[in-house]
Amino acid sequence: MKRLLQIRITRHFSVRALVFAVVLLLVWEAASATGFISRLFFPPPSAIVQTLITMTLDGRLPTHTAATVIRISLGVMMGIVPGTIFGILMGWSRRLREIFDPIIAATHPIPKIAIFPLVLIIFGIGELSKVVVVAISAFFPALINTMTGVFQLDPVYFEVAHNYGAGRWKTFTRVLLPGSLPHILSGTRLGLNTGLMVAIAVELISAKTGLGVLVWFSWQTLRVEELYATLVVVSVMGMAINVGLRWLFARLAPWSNENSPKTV
Amino acid sequence: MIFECVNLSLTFSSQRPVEALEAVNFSVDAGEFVCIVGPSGCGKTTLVKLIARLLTPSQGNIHFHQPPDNERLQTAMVFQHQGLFPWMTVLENVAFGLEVRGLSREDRHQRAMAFIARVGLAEFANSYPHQLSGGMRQRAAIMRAFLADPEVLLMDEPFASLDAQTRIIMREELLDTWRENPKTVIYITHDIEEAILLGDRILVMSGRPGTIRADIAVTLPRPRSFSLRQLPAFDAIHQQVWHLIENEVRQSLRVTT
Ligand SMILES: Nc1ncnc2c1ncn2[C@@H]1O[C@H](COP(=O)(O)OP(=O)(O)O)[C@@H](O)[C@H]1O
Ligand SMILES: [Mg+2]
Repeated sequence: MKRLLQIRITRHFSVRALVFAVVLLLVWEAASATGFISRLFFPPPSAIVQTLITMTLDGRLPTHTAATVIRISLGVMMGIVPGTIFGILMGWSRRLREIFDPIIAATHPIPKIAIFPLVLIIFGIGELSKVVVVAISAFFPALINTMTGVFQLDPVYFEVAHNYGAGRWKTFTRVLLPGSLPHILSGTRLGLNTGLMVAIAVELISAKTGLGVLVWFSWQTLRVEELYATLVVVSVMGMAINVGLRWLFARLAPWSNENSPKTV
Repeated sequence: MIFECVNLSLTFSSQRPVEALEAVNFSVDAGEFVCIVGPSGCGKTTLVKLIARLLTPSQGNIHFHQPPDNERLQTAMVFQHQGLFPWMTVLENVAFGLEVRGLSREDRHQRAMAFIARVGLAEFANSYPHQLSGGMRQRAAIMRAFLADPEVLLMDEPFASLDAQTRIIMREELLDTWRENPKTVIYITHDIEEAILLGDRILVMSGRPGTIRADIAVTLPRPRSFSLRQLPAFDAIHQQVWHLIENEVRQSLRVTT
């Protein structure tokens, strides 16, 4: 019992890791303050926190964060919803899988940022193009994970459903969907993370708002503190996504907490 | 007679065709507990899946005396592994048959709860299968099948993956449940003792392709329990069945090694 408890705690939050992080920050602070490492490239954490506060108060961080969040939300929604639906269909139908597998195998490995120019040509130099690239990048992980989840489902569950007289709809809602839910959710998580990455990358290339713009701008003007402050926000955003999804996962699929390490 | 298999044959058309069953003939009377024994790989699972209409025979037929109707399931099956849905609680799992039939949530849960309580699973009603031991899971799966009240209950080695002690208890429990809810049962096992202890009849199968070698009546008195093994009649039947399948087992060992 005691051991179980320990495992559970360390899996989510470990005192050792926290202590290590604090020590690292303190060493960094000291090294930077004494000039042991260059203040220009590694400003002390205290200065970064200071900058975070200033940038929040002058409205730059909130504005650009909001722009990125909206872009990711829209894009990821546009990617994950069709990706998941299509993944279910492909997992369900062997024929669809046979038809589309090669196309997906061929298009999936292309770094999505590399098709941004193409998207620009098609959708124009506006907000839509950025959202579309994010959508495309979130589409693939959602599709592939969902498809895997559906077609790896043990056939015995369909046999049980059929044996008890379940029709198509019942089988879909009570067997196929919940059975592949853990994979669907991990597709969503991967889609969101990829979406975040691609959104920032797109903003670095071409945008007027967004955290990527802040990163680029602070580099160009050599405001290294601002660069760090922005990266902190990106990192917090990424962590929030994952913590939120883990919470959602535990809510939606409580049965698979124990036996699916893949989803953490 | 509740149903009969007539000349039932099935050849799997995989890359290398497998003749799983050939000309299986037998009939089952209402209320009978029929055990089917045979060495591993002789087609037992295939046979029950055919009866459950999860597979279609290449030849032959299964005739049910009653024509199929929407009110009552012809068969409900207890699988050897993975029978319970991992994403449903024990209660939802046991009530699944009633859910499919369209009973209200309250109604089906109430009826499922009564069955769950009787096998001592009440406190696990809202647990998920992975939180249960193998024995408890099979109990729940069996309760689900009984609650669905099919014409014929099919059980495919339901206790095969349990340890020997648990198996003894589970058998006696099954007999108790069956006595309280009389039902026609087809019970697959590779365990001769188990077949004698449970069955009114034992169908002995031989393999490749699978067919019925013998049909042995077990006239031991009921209610039965573990202590039945001390009766001379038990030994006699045991000998008889073993004699029938010994060669099969030897042969299958020779083939696989
Ligand atoms: N889907 C299938 N495709 C091809 N061969 C199969 C299939 N299912 C079972 N078999 C073969 O049919 C034979 C009987 O299998 P099975 O009914 O599972 O035996 P048992 O339940 O008695 O162990 C075995 O030789 C097995 O390999
Ligand atoms: Mg089998």
